Amino acid sequence: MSEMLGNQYFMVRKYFDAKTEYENELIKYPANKSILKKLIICLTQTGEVQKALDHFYKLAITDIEYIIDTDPVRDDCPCVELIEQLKKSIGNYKNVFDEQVINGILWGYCDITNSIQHFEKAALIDRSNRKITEIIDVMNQYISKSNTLIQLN
Amino acid sequence: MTISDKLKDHILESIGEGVFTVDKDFRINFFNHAAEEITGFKKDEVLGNFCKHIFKSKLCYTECPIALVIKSNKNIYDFESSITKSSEEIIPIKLNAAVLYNDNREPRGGIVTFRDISEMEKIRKDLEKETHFNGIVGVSKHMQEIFSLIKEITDSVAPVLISGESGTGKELIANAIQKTSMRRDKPFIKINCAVLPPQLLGSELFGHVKGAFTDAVKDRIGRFELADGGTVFLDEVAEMPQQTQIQLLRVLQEGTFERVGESETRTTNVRVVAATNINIEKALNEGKFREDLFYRLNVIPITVKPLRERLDDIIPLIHHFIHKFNLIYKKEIEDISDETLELLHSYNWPGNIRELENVLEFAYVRTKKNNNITAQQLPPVIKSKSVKNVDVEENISVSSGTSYLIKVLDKNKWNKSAAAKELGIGRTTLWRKLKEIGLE
Repeated sequence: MSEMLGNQYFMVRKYFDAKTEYENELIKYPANKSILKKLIICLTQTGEVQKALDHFYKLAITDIEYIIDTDPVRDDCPCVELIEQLKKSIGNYKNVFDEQVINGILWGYCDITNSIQHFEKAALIDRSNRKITEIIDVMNQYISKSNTLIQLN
Repeated sequence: MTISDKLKDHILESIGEGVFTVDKDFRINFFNHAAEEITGFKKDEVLGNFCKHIFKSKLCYTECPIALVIKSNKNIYDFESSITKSSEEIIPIKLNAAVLYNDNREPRGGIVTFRDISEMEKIRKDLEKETHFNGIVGVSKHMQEIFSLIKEITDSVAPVLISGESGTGKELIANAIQKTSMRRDKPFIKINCAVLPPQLLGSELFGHVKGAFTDAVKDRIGRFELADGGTVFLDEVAEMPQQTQIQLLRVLQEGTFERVGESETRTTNVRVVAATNINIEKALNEGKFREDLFYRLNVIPITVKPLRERLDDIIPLIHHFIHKFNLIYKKEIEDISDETLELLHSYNWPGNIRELENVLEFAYVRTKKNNNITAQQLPPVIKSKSVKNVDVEENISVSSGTSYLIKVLDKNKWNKSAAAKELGIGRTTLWRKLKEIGLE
């Protein structure tokens, strides 16, 4: 129906409902980063890990800062609580690769170093996954660029 | 002429209701002075914050009003909810909600106006405590039988058909059925079938899809979908057009329906409580109401007698309404003169309880503080149309009040002053009535 309705579902953590709204909106506005950012989180909760990774990759190579510049309070981002839940359910995932990817994605919104570590673990499981290696490259580039800027200042 | 944004803000600031707006992410971007007064939050504390973090209403998680408007494509009026003030006190509110659209008719924000109804709620609760059954006043044998029946059907989800003249309290009975049923925590949607044009009723009940008719610019869900799992109250059901009667019959039989303009069959699980104020048998004979639908609806029939046939209820109703007006108008009127009581007893009450309430309010507002309501303050129609035969008057008033009198006296341990006060009559009137029935 609309992005706004998706936002309401997202706000009250109804990820399945929010996902449906966001996917419909994304067809109309494929470049809408705000929708993409929240849809990725929804997909990690609906079990569509590959889809979540595809969208995360798309957003990361376009604008990694848009993911990293997320504040759990200011943006009402649920990643911190989702990571906590994930910690409690460790071992429940049949697929270790999926578990690392979900962690990599969710940490991407909270702590880039942790995110890289999880993506690296996922890369060890699936060495041929081009998207994951590119995400790691983009994140590392972002860190070195940030460090350079800090040194210059 | 267009109004500048500054003037619009000024208008919104100056109105007495709380107003706030949110952007598409549900962050508050406008908060007027009245909203500050009601909630105790200052503008600076709320602007830019998510509304759920400020109002902390359980509604945010279940039925966000703005989300409901987006889904149903229909503004919300007088929606009851609660919010948490800055002091952590939870207060009841009534709100209206609408969605703000951009040029492409896409939702880009929402506006909510709200008012604090703590005082009205307190009055309602005070009054409800004094009613005899879930908001209904009635001590007559007839009403007691209805209360017993409602208690007996609490576990049932069968349809109920309430019939009775206009003003007899059919909606209150429907409320009591819903409040005591297993579905009391589920949605309760009311619709008056006579209010909407026949061509729109189907869309209102079952929804429509975009393009179904000229004004159908968006998909819209109907009341039966909104009430899924709960109860629908169909007032004045006999006014329903034939086509809609067929659709309703299908919902009752199979729980299925289609939105107007759509072929997809949808399901809903709804309990139907219907009411009618017309002679349903006449409507059946004239072919205006389908017989099969009548039998489907009439599983649990409840017939509410007119007030003139249950005069025992007049005194407690008078007492109830005077108490209600005392709370609303902040006056302390406790008594009603003997002559007034006689007139009210001997009137025919074609408009039933609603008319009694209106008559009493008319007399009440004309009565000075701390005085009794006298016959002079009654509307002329009551005085002119009351039965003039004194014997009849006396017989009616004596017989009608007896059981209630004894009940109130028992309750007050036969303290006549206290009983008279509760009955809303003078001590002398009470003495006279007791004498008439041989108890003094």
